Amino acid sequence: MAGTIEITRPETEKTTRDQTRETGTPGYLVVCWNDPVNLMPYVTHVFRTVFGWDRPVAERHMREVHEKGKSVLVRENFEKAEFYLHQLRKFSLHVTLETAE
Amino acid sequence: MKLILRESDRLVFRLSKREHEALLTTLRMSALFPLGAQPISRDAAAGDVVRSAQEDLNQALSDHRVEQAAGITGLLTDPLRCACQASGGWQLTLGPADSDRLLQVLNEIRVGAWEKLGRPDFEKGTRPEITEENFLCFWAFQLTDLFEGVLLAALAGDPDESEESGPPE
Repeated sequence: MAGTIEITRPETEKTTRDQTRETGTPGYLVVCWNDPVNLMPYVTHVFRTVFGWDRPVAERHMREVHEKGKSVLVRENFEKAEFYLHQLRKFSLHVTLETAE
Repeated sequence: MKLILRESDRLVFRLSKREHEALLTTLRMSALFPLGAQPISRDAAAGDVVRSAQEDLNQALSDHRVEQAAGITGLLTDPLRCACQASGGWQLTLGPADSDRLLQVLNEIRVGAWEKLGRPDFEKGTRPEITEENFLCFWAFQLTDLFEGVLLAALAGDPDESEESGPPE
């Protein structure tokens, strides 16, 4: 057939990110750290807004941040964890992405 | 700044002339505080995947900041949402998106001011020395505390902190 070109997809090494996308392995933690600047009601509000949590759940995580220094908010695959990280950073919370053991 | 009306899709606040001026001045200070370069992870052994996401995050936050600034300008120049009253005060009407935008921008200013003050821990009694150079940061820090407090109380439905008794004007 005229004009038909066979395309061969190059082989690429699968990264952890690719594997995570495929398997949905929840290997990433979104961690919120305590800081002396964000108001506690503000942190609660942000958790409710970003995760859609009820007030008691959001307050429990907020208190954990305040009293224990940090709280693991969610354990997700890379894409979801990255998404939540972006949303929380937009509110200037001190959050990081950590790999689960 | 007082909440005078709460409905499912909007909050209406009344601001005195001085409060309105203070809010505008505070919001204009956003440009004084560059975005902090907070690392995406504390894990020194974080993989390339996590580290490579840092650039995406920085770009996303930078773009978001531009969008938020435009949104705040739109809010404060829209006579339907920010209206001068015959009394000389102002009426500010916030939809859900407006409330979150205002909170985000105020808090970004708060964090920026706090960093310029040397990251003091007020809860532990640390007080920065106020100088001519950092006076505006301290002022912005205090003002954002006030405005955020009123907004958060209104959003949480806490009548004690945000509402004023009597009928709306």
